[in-house]
Amino acid sequence: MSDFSALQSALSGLMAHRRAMEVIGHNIANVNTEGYTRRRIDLQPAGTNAAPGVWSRATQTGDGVNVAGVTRMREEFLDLRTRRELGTNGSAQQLSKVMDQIEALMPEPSDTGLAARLSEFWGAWDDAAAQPGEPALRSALLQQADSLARTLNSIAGSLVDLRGSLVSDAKTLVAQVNADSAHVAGLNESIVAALGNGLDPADLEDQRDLIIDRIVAQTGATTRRQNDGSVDVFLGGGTLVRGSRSEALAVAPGGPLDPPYTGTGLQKTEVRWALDGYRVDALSGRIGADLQGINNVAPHYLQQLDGVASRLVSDLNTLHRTGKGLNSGDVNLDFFDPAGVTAATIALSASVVGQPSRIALASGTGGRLDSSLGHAIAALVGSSTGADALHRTLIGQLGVDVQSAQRRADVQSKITTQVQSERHSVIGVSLDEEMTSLVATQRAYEASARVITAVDQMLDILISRTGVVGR
Amino acid sequence: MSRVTSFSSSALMLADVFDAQRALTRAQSQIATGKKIQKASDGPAEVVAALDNRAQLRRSEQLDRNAGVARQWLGAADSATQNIIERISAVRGLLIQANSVTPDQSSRTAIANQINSLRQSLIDSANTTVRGRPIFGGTAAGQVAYDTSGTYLGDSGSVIMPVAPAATVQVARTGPEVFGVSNPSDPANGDLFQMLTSLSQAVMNGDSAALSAGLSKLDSAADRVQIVQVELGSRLNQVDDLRAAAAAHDTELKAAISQLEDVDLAEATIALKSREAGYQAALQVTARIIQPSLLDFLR
Repeated sequence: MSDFSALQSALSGLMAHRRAMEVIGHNIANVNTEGYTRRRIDLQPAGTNAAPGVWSRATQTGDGVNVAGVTRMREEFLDLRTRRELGTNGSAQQLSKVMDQIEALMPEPSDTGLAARLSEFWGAWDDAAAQPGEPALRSALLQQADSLARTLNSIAGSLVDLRGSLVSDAKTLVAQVNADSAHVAGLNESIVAALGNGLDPADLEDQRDLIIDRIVAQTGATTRRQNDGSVDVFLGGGTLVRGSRSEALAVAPGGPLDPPYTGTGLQKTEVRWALDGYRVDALSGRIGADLQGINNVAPHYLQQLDGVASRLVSDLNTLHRTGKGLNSGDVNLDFFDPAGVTAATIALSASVVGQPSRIALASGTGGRLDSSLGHAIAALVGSSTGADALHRTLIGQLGVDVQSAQRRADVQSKITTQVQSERHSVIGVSLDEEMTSLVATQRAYEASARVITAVDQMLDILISRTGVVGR
Repeated sequence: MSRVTSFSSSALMLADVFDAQRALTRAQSQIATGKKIQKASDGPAEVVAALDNRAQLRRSEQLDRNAGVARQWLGAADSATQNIIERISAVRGLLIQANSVTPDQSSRTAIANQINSLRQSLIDSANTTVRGRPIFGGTAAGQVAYDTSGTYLGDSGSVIMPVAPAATVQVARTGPEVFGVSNPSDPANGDLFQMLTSLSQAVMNGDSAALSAGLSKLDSAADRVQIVQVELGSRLNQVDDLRAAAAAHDTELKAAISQLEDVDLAEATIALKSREAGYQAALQVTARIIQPSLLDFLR
């Protein structure tokens, strides 16, 4: 142990604390950077023998301080938990949005919705029946019927449009996920290489974890950290990213919808692996919610609406065929086109369109100005199995579904904020803490400098003032 | 939570402020629209009940319109039958006049002519129309119920109008039901118009036996019209009663709809005020917590 070793210890203190200052500066600079993980400098005493020799007898005081490394404060458990909630949250939020949009297509209670149209339609039958010989009222009835049919057409059309916009949303998101997973694979490669070369890959890891969070929110993927520092991303039994390799996804039509929605005649949409074309199962996140909207939710309401339309067509035609119009020969006619029994295709039959006199208001046995059939049709409004009752059931069910989707989204959003905040309490930068460390580091730096001064003065005494005897 | 970082605390505080703001916006929109439920998810059960009530109300308004038409028909029938009864009694007076003294041929001709013209005006009354449709013509198409010779052109169909839930009213009677059935082989026993023709002929001929027989037949014809008038008059009352009951029910329905859909302004205003206070408090607290940092206290 030489006289200068104390100087060396003090120097190591200066250098270590300058490094600590740099780390603190980096943390403070990134206090608002999304995805930044705070770093902590790890110091350890230098110079002590790790395995003392049998015969060594030195009284060691140590050689100062070493920087053992810079730790990235990340807890994998919190990462996994946050990501699971992120996937569920992405799905719940998007599903709630889809339900809101469907609800906006059927604005009830209102004076403009389908319920009001139905009431006006039945009322027009009564008005026309009250004066069966009046052509203006018959024309008004045809107008009301046409407007009712077009309202149904337009709601059905909007539901189909909604599916279309969900498909394009899913396509955009899948393209983004493909780009993101390629990026993650690239970062994995860089990180493994950096670790091999003894470099600090912390900033690359921050970037990668942020991108993985985004992939998870869109797809509900799961992750596993490998020993070489890379992170693998799994999606529904398949592998989206393994090490430096990534697989692409693709949105593709998947044939007719599954039962019970096969009858709507709509096509299913699937997400598949681009490589082999196998379907990706158990997709969650925003893309999963899009697919659910496309393949389940929108078809469900379309089917309910079809039920209203087909009941309207069958009820009307059954009664209408028993009656007769103003002129002889106007018997056994359909009111609605029997071929259009869905909400999208319901229309007036060619027998009556533009020919109000052919509307049957008279019963088959009554006189030509008989109105009993017209009044009987108008009375269908009160039928407990009629179109109005079906529509009310549909609206009630829609309300419950929207409400529960909103509640799920609200709860999930709270849970997600909670776990994100928990994760941030570990990885986030606290300015108060950094300030405290800054003060401590600054003081330590000053003290190390003071040690150098003290040793210098001691050496000065030794060199300049000792051994002057006999000079 | 071990550490509180600026991000975690600000994210949580922001979520709370957003919640307060959402509640405030919702309370505001309730007051601005005056509606408690604006879409199905605001209260599925209430919306279904409101839709049901609205449909019932519209149906009831429709039935009220029907009742208005029914009232027109019944009113027209009432005044027509009144006219007919008056004319029949005028004919009766003429017949008694023709039968009591023994008038000369010219007076008999005058009486017969009077009877004939009363017959024509009776045919006009029998052709009373509502909105261009003869009320005694059954359900047949056509401008008149009886042609000028007194032949019935209508059919036996009855005009029935639904005026209330599960209540229908027959708003007119057919010609034969009011004026009797025609009998081409024996006009004296036929309908009112045939009867009048044969009576005027009897007056011309001075056939007192036929006149005496005709008087009693005329009385039973008048009775028949009277019965129809009373019947239709009581239906008119029935329609008015039903309308009044329906109006009362409509008021209840409107109240129920309002209770389901409309916002209670006092309650909503208080809710808005408390939400406003909550929002402001959230903002103030957030501002006070976010501000201080160790930086403020270090030299």
